Amino acid sequence: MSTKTEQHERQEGIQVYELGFHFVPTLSEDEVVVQFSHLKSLIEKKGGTFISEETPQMTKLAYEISKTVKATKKRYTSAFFGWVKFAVNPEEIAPIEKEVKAFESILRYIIITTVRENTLVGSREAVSAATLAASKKGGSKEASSEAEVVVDAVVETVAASADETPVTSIEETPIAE
Amino acid sequence: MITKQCYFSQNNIKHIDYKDTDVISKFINPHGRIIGRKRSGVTAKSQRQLATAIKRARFMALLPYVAN
Repeated sequence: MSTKTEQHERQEGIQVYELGFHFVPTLSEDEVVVQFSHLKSLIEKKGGTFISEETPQMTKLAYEISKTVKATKKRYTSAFFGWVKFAVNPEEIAPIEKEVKAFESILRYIIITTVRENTLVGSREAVSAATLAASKKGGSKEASSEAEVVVDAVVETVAASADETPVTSIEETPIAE
Repeated sequence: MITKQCYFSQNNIKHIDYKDTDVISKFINPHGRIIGRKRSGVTAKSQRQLATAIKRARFMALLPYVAN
C-alpha cells in the first residue's frame, strides 16, 4: 500500500524509521525524560521529523540483559522501554545509529524501517501517538497538504480504534485450531 | 469441514508491529516458539511479517527466546 505521500517521499529520498530502545532502570523518572529529549534532539539535528512516539515506561524484560560499561558488567531484568518514529534521509541513519550506540543509558536499541501510518493495534498507544501528531500539526495552519493528509490518516486510525467492534474482535478472537 | 481464517486478514492488519506483544504472543507456543501456518491459518505474507515481528520482539526482550 503506497499513498501519495509515500511516493513523494521516495522521490525526495526520505525514509520512515523507528527507533525502539531500553533505558537502564537505574535512571530516575526525571532523568528518563531528560535522556529521551536528548535522544530526540539528536535525531532532530540530523534533519529528522517526528511522526509519533511513546515516552519510556518501566517494563519487565523477558530475559536478563547485561551491559558492560567501563569494565563493569551489569545485569538488568527491567528497563524503560520507549520508541520514536521519524522520517529522515537514509544517508543520515548511519550517523544517528552511531550516536545512539554511544549512549550510555541505552541498554539495547533497534532501528527499523517502517511506514508513516500507525502500525499499533493496541488502542492506548494508537491514541497517544495520534494526539501527538495532531497537536503538532494542528497548531500551524500553514502545514502543507501532505501534512494534512497524514493528520487525516492518523485521525482515521484513531476513529477506527475508538470504534468498539474491531478492537474487541481483535482481543477475543482465538487462533483457529 | 472447518475453514481456517487468517487473523490478520480478518482484522485488516496490514503491518505487524513488534511492539504489539498482545497480538503476536497469540502466535507463540508456551515454550516461546513460533506457531506454524498450518496450525494458525495465517496467510504466507502475514506469516513472514509475523516471524520478523516476533524475532524483533525477542531481541528487544519483549518476548522470550525460550520460556519455561
